[in-house]
Amino acid sequence: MALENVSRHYGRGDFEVAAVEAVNLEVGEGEFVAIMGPSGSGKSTLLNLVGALDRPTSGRVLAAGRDISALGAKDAARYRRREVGFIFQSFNLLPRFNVLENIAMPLVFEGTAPAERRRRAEALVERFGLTERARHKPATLSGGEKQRVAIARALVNEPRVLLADEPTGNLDSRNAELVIETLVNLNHLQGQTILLITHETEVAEAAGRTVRMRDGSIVEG
Amino acid sequence: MRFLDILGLARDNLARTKLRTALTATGIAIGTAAVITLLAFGNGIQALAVGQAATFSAVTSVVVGPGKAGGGGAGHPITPASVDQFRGLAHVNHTVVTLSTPPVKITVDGASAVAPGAARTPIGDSATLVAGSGAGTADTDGLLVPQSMVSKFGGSAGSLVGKPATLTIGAGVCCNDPRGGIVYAGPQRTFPAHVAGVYDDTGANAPRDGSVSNLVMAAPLGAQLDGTASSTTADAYLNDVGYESVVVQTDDARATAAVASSIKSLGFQAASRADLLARIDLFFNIIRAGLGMIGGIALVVAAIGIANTLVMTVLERTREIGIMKALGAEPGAVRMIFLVETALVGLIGGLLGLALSALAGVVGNVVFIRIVQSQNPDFPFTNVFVMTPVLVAFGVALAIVVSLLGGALPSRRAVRLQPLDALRYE
Repeated sequence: MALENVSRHYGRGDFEVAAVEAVNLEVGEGEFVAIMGPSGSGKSTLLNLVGALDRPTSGRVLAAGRDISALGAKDAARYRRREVGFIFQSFNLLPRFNVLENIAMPLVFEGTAPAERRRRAEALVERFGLTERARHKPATLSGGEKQRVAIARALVNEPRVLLADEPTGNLDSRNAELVIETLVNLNHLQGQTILLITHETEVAEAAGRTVRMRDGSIVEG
Repeated sequence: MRFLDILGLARDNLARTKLRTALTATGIAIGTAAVITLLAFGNGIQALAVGQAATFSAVTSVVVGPGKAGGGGAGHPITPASVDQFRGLAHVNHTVVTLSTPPVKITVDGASAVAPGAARTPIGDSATLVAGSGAGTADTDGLLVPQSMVSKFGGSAGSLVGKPATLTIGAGVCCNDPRGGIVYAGPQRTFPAHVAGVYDDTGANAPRDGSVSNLVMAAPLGAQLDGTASSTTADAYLNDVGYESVVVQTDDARATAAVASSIKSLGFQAASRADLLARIDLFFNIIRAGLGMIGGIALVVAAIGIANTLVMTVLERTREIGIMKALGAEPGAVRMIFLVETALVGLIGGLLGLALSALAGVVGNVVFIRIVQSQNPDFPFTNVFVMTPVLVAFGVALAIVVSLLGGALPSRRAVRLQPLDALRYE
């Protein structure tokens, strides 16, 4: 995966703000990369560009063998569904659906048969110790449980890359450790490529490589 | 995304907001009921009017004349064989053949009178009898005497019926026929006949142009007169010159036009007033369209209600839509979820509306017949609200289409939401 001279500007004319400016970055398969930097340094924008949630103003984002910055809404949705797993700071679980349904949701959009969806979601529920909670709605879960559900959901489509935007930001230290341990295991044992945003040094130390950003540019890594 | 999953999501969304769904569907139901009830009423009065009109003989009869002479030929006479052909056509249940004859002198009991002659079989057709019965009018030598002539024979109309009579044509019978018809000035000839009845030629039944009333005779007798006048036999006359006209009656006003065109294709002139029925039909179609449009106003209001509700729903679900899009829901899938939701509301509203409309129709029919029969106790039971399967299907389809139209714009907003903007929405 590679970003080639990628910029993302917001606004127009005198109000134009460069969230990301002329960034070049390469992430190899199986790498665990932590992106650090102060608020407003462009970390999240960078992650959204890689996840095709946003399009660069200029430059190319190469992933899964093609330039995803040029994808239309439909193809971008397919790319997110098949190649990317998102983990958000605020979990972004669907409150109306129970744990199993939340985990299986990307497969619903893929059009996977119900029996297969169920099989894969149940396997992840068991793997993340959520069996007791499988029929519960997100509102009844603790923060740590919610983030485990979110990780399970991000993995259900066996993505090429996991994109985690401060996944420990809303968690207490014990649950934060658990989440980081889970990600490290995924990377070490399965060779899962992970791009993770954090501003905690301990979290960044778990990753194999750290990229530092400031004012929209990469200053280190 | 699978359609069953879309349907499931849509159903869950509706079930989650039961009150809102119920209120929106009620709007659609009232609109649908208004349209369908008014259209059912239109159906009813149309059927009533067309049914009444179809019983008029004007719309069930075809007047047939001989075919026009083409290229100097003798034309196409209406022979007895032609009449048999007409009788063989589907929906034809009755024919009346007519001939005009030379002026005749009728002699009964030594008294006589002169009148223009006409021949018709059945002789009693379209006549109002003041004496005699329909039975005698089937005879091949029967006569119908105009009431105005009865005084010339003395006695009453009734005493005349059944009496033998003699018809005379030829030189000295009469100078000219006021109608300018067949004139026979050859040697006098007489024909035996009998009086089958007396018909009313007074008042409203008097000849319109002030001319003298015809002496009406059975067509075979008329053919004998005409044959003699043409120096040939009755059969030869009918085969060469044929009947003057034939009125062909159908058993169904809607078949009249087809019968007329069949007869035309046989080479005869045929005129019918079947278009009258089509005009009445057209008139009521226009009324129905007007009624439908009035009902449609309620439906437009309901569609705006749907649009309003859905705008709120999209706003409420902005974050959910964002999450779904981030997880890979395609724009088409998001659109389908919203459209299926509105279609379901339309379906519920449409079925509810049909139920309302059916109820209104049943009550309306009872009230109508009560009112009409209180004025005219003999009026047969008739439905003025008529629901047809087509109308039922149309009602459901209309409710769904109107809902989809109402949902189109809000769904577009949902489809166009940028996932990032939606995720940031609180």
